[in-house]
Amino acid sequence: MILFTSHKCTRCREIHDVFVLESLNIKEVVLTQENAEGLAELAWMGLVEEAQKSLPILVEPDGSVHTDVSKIVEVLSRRARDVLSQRLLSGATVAEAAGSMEQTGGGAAVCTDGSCRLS
Amino acid sequence: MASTIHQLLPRTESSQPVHEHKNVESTERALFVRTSDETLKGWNRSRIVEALVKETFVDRETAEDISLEVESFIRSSRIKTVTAPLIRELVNARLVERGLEDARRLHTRLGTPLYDVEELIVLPNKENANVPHGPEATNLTLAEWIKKEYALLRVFSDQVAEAHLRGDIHLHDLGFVDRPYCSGQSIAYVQKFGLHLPNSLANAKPAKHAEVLLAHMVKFSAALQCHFAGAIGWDAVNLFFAPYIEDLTDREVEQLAQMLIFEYSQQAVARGGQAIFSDINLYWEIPKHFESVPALGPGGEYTGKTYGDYLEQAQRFVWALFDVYKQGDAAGRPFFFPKPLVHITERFFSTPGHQDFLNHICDVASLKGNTYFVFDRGETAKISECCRLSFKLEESDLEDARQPWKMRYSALQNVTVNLPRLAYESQGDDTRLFQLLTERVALCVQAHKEKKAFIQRLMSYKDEGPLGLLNMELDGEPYLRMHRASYLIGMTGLNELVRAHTGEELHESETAVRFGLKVIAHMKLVADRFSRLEKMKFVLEQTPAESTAYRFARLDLDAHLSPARDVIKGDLASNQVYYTNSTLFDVGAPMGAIDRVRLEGLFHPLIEAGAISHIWLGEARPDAKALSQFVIKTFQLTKNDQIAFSPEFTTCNVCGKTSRGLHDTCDACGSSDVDGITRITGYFTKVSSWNQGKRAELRDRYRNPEFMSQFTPSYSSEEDA
Repeated sequence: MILFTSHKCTRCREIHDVFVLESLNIKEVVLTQENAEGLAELAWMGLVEEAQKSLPILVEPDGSVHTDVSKIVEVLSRRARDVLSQRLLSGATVAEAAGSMEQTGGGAAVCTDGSCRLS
Repeated sequence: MASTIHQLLPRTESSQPVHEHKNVESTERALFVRTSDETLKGWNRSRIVEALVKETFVDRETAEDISLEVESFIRSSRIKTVTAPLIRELVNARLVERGLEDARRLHTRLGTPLYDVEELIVLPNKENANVPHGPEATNLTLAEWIKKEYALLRVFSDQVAEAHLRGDIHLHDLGFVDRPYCSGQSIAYVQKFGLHLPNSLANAKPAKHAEVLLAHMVKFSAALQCHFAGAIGWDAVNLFFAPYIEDLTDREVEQLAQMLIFEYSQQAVARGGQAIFSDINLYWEIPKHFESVPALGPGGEYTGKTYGDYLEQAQRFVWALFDVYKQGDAAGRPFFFPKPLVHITERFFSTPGHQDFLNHICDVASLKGNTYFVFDRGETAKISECCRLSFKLEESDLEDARQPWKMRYSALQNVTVNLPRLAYESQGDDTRLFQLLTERVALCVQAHKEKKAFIQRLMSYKDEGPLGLLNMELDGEPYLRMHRASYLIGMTGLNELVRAHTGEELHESETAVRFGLKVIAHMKLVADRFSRLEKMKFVLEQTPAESTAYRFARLDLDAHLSPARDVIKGDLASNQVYYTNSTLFDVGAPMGAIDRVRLEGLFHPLIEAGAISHIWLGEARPDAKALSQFVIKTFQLTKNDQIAFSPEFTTCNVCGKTSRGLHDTCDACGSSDVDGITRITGYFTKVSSWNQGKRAELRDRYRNPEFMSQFTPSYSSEEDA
């Protein structure tokens, strides 16, 4: 699973605050003015134009693409639950399994300044 | 001292110069100099002194010394004919001896060797397949040669000029250094203001009739061609003509369509005998940004309706235009110009009759190849032109649409990076490769800043200057809006860069494509960064590279023989070599058309100023409905910006018949005096006018027989022709 984000994007920051993406085994690609590799990845997936309209973008392993923030939060929450369950089943304590994965929010933030897109 | 050449071509006994020459011989001891104003002037050493002081700023004493040395040399050498260029070269030699390199540069004479001029006059020049061979064309080429030299000496810095000469970058259209690159606009300008051209002997009021509007449009195109190096594109032509054709019968509309296409395709009497590189953007629907705009009609007056009310008329005209394209010229050949670019949008598919129209234009694409399919997805709107250039309309541009005469966009220059050379120089080191790429883009930026400064200087002379037409302010601002200009950064040979750096060509693996994408993404990000820094709009464009792909390959064989010979395309033994254009995949790769369009299309969103994929049809004539399905799939399932289908033809110079496919002899009369016709980079032209590199590419093109056979009905050869 790949999440395309930007440092300037408020919605991206909120998702970042809520989820520890690395522990969910989600590759985060931060699109910056220097990250050619990230932009190339975006182009390979055919998502440059989508990113110019809206960020973040989540790409699932089956190729499904989500640009709606609430849908992204939903998918990530589901993923967090799955990972949590797997850890508990593999013998981790509740505290260990939860780690910093606790979801504290998840509402779709409104990006009023237009920065939630690749500019 | 005179400054330009007096030709030394062979002369007859009765010619004027021989008579003058006899006078010279009869004049004992005196030296005479042939000057640029075709007269003989008596020797006057002080002319050398004055020229040196005026042109090079050397001190008078040095100038005197040099003039004495030159005079002494000439008198002692017993030269029979002294010419102004010879004296200049002798003076230059003395400047070099004194280490006055800067002064020598300033004293340089721009000109052309006698041998080259004779070759040029007698043999065709194939740098640009759109320039025919004739007296006007050789005038154009000679002027271009001198302006190229001038550009490299005076417009661009040494750093930029040397990078061009080495082949690190290519400065396009150096021979047209004193004008912008190309222009895309709306005909609303001539609709509203008529034809008021500076220096014109007569002005015309706004047209009241469709055919007069057409005449204005064509004349204005010719005037613009004299002020831009490249293409002249027109936006939404069928829509802007619509208010003028309401009262015309279908036959009259057909006649108008015929006139428009013939007028442009037969303009081979304009600059250098060159046809105007013209593009007409066409829509089946009413573009959203024009829908509620008050329409301009006869006399340049508002009609009281909006463009949204003219759908039926606009469709009538665009249909008629494609009827004409389908017929071809008197010999059944495809029209080379104007290029019809049809915009395919979401709105297109919701406009009644779109499927019939799509079949119609696909029929033309299959039969003659003319149609360009330009994909504007989402809210994108653009004006397309040249071989693939697009001006993507931003918010401010869409605001212009409210006053469509303001819609005029220009790219000031195109500079291309030689990508394979980066791989040779970096020797497999990624970091080095991207560092070099950054440096080359920075060089492009520098070249653009220098060209911009030069054009601004010419523009500052207003009506008195050479760009008076671009300074006309009929709507309150200059026709050329410098602050809205874009600056193109192109690329050639991505495929060969990837091959040299990773060992695989783009079509050979996902890794290769991903690396190619990273290269182009890097270019884009660097260009974006410079845009912010310089407050200029630097955008990537797929370079057509008609001659650049050949030039870079030749230069790299000289400079980097060992790595270059492993990746360069074509035939090294015969020097028919080339690099693959821009970000295109190897033209000879046996790829399915769908894969090619999809994979090449991955690069297109990174290349804002235009990209295209070619589908080489060869002799095949696919079914129109099948092609239309292909077009729809391309729109829906890929990111491809523009596609064109390219059939091939053989035209007979003896009997005039045109047949499908490239053949050595005429199908009809058997003559071997034939010429091929197909698309070179982004336009149709005769194969005989192609350079060596492009001919090699033509031989290598993969015509995709499996794909074409799926879509090819069993037409008879007569129908095909």
